[in-house]
Amino acid sequence: MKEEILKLCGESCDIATRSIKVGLSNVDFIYSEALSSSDAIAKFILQPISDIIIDNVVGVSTKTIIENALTGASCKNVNTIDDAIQKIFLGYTIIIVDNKSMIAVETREQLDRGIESSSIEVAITGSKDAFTENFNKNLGLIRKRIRNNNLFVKEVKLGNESNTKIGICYMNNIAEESLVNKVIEKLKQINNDIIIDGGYITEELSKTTFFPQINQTERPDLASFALLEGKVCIILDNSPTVLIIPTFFIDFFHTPDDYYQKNINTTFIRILRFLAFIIAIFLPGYYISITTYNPTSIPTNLLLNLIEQHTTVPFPAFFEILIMIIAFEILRESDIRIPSKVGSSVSILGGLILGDAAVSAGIISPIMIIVVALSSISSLVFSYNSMVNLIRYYRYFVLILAIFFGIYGLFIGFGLLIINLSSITSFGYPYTYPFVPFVKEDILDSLIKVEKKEKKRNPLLAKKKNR
Amino acid sequence: MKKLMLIVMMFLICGCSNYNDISNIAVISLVAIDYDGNNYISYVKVLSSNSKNEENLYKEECPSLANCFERLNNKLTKRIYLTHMDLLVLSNNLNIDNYNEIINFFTNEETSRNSFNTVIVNKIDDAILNSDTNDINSMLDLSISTNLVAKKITLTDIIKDILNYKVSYIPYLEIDKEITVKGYKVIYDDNKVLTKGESIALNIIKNLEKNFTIMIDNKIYKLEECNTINKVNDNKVNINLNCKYEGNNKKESKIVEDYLKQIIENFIKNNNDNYFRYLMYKYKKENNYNIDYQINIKVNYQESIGGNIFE
Repeated sequence: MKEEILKLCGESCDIATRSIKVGLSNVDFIYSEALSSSDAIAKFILQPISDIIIDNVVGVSTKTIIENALTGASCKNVNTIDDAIQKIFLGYTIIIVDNKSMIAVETREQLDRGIESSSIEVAITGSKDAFTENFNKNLGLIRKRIRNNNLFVKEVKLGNESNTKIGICYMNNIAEESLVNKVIEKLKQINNDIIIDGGYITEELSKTTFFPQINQTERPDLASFALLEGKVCIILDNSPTVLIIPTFFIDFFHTPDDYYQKNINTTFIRILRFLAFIIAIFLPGYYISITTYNPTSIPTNLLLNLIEQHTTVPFPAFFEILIMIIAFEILRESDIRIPSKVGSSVSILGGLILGDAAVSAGIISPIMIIVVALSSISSLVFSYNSMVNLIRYYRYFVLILAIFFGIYGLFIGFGLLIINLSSITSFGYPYTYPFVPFVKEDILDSLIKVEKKEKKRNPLLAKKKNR
Repeated sequence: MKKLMLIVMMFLICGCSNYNDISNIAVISLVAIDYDGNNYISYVKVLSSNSKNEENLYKEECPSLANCFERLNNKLTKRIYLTHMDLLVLSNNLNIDNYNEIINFFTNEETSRNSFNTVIVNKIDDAILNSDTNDINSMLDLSISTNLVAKKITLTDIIKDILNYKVSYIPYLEIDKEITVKGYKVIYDDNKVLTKGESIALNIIKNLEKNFTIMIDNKIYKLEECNTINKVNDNKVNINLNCKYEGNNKKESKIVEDYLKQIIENFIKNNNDNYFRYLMYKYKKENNYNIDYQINIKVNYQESIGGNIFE
C-alpha cells in the first residue's frame, strides 16, 4: 500500500513517510509535509501511539488499538488508495497498519490567513470581519450570524483536476427549492479542470451579458442578509469571496452601511450612487456631443470658456478624450498592480504631475481632465469589480456613439442600456426587479429606503408561504 | 461578419454629419442688417473667447444675405454660429422684400434658434453696434414696465404674428445723441412707425403688461392689475380694459379712463384697424367690411394710504 501511494503521488518531495513498530505490527505514516502540521502529527498520532502498552491486550487487532488511542478529533477509515491520496492532499496523515488497513487522521496545517477586516467592501459602521480562504471559517462566519437549523449547506465538488469543495448555502424555510435545484444543476454543468476562485463560476454562469448577474461579497453580514432574503450563497474553498445568487441590478447600488444607518442617509447615498452610475457612463459622451455637435445647449459664457480652453489643443475633442481615458486606465491598472509602498508615488506622478504637465504643454484642455476624472471617479463608487468593468465598456460604447452621432448617439446608447437591462434574467429572475416587475413592497428598499410598516420577506424570492 | 460590416457601414455613412469642433465656431452676439438699395450691409459681432471678453465687429456688403454670411464665414475662417445671438438689429431702410429675405435666411439657417430679440433702428452706426446687447434688451424691459412704450419681441414671435395677422410690431429705437425707445414699427403692411400713444394703445390691446405707469400732462399715473379682454363677433369688436388706480383724487381715474380711450381710438383710426382686421380675417376670409368698435375702459379708484408718491 505504502509503495503504491508513493508511486501514485509521483514520489513527490513533500510526501513524507515514517515507520514504527507497535507490538508485532508494522505501522507506516504517510503525510504531506506541505499540508500537514508536524506538531499535530506528534501530538495527535505519535505521542498516543508511543504510549500504547500492547502486552496487556489480547484478541484485539492493532488497528483497533491504534484507533482507540488516537486523540485527534477527526479519524476516518480509508478503504481505497484513491481515497487515501485525496485525504493526504487535504492535510490528513494516513496510518497504514501491516500494509493492510488504513486510518486517516486530520493533521491539517493552518495555511490561510486569519479573519481580517474587509479591504474592498469597506463599511464605516457594522461588523468588520471578512471571509478568508478557509471554507470552514467562511461557513462559520455565516453560521455565527444565522444560528438556525434551517441554514442548509450542500456540498459539491467542482474542477476535474482541482477537486474544489463548494458549499451551496440557503435557508430551507425561505429559499425556493426550484432556485436551489437550478443553482446545483448549473454548477454541475460546469466542466472546468480547475476552479480556484468565484470568478471561474461567475464567468461560466453569466457568459451572455456584460452585466454582472452574480454578486460577489467578502462580507459575511451581506451574505447573511442575502440568505435571509431567500437567495443562495456559494462558498468556495480557497476563495475569500462568497457568491450570491440571484443578483439584481439594484443590488449594486446597496452598500454594507445601508442597514446600519438612518433611512434618509441610506436613500441619499443610494441616489448619489445612481447619479454616479449615470455620470460615469454618459459624461464623456455628453461632453463630446455638446462640444462637437450641439454647442447650442451650452450657455454663452461657458461656451466661450470651453472655446478658450480648447484653442491651444492641437487635437480634436474626441481624440483628446480617448487619450485621457486610456491614460487613466493605465494609471489605474498600474496603481492596482504595483506594491502599496510605491503606490502613492505613482498616484502623485501620474495623477498630478502628468495631468498638470499635459495641460501646460497644451496637449489636453483642463475641462477634459475634469470630465474624465469625474467620470472615472464616479465609476469607482462601486466596489464590485464587475460593475466597474461594465461601466467602463458602456462608457466606451456611448463615447463612440457620441463621436459619430452626437446627442442622438447618446440617446441611442441610453436606449440600448435600458433594452439590455430589461432583457437580462438572473437565474430566471428579472434583473430589473423591483422596478420591472413593479413590486411595491421592495421599492421601499431599492433606490430609496423607507421603513416598511409590515416586515415581509422578499415577495419574489421567498417561498410563497413565508412571504 | 455581415452584421459587423453593416454596423461599420452605418457608422461611416450616417456618422459625423454636422460635426463641428467648438474651436472652429465663431459665437455671434449681434447681427445688424442694412440695405442701401442694391446691397445688404451685414454686421456681425463675434464674441471673443479670450479672457478680456472682447467683441469683434465684422462687416460685409453683398447682394444677398446668404452671400454676406458666406463671405463672413470665409473672412473669419470659422463657422458663424447664431445660436447664442442676443439681438438682431434691422435698419429702417429695409423694405418688405428685405424682410422676407431676412426671415427666410434665419428660418433656414440651422444654427439659428430665432429666439433673439429684434429691433429696428433709424440708422445703423457705432452707437448701436458698440453697445452691449444686454443693455439694449434691458432698455426694452424698462420701457414696457415704466412707460408702456414697447416690449421686446423675438424673431419667432414676429414670424408667428406675420403668419397669423399678416402684421407685426417691432420695437423701434431712435439713435440720435443717445438711444431711445420710440415705440413700434409696423412691418409687413404699413411699414410705418407708431407714435408713443399708439404704441401704448397697442400694448394695452394686446394685454402685454399688467402693471405700468403712464404720463398725462406731465403727471405720472401708476396703474395696477390691468387686464384687457377683446371680443370679436361678426363685425363688432369689444375692447374691455379693467385697471386699478391708487391715488388721492377720484377724478384722476376719470382722466386716465379718458386718456386711454382716446389713444386706443387713435390707434384704431390711424392704423386702418389692421390688428383687428386681421384677427377677424381668420373667420371672415375677406377684408372689405366696416368694424364697429366698442371700447370700455374701467379704472377702479382706490384711495392711496401713503399719499401720492409719484409727484
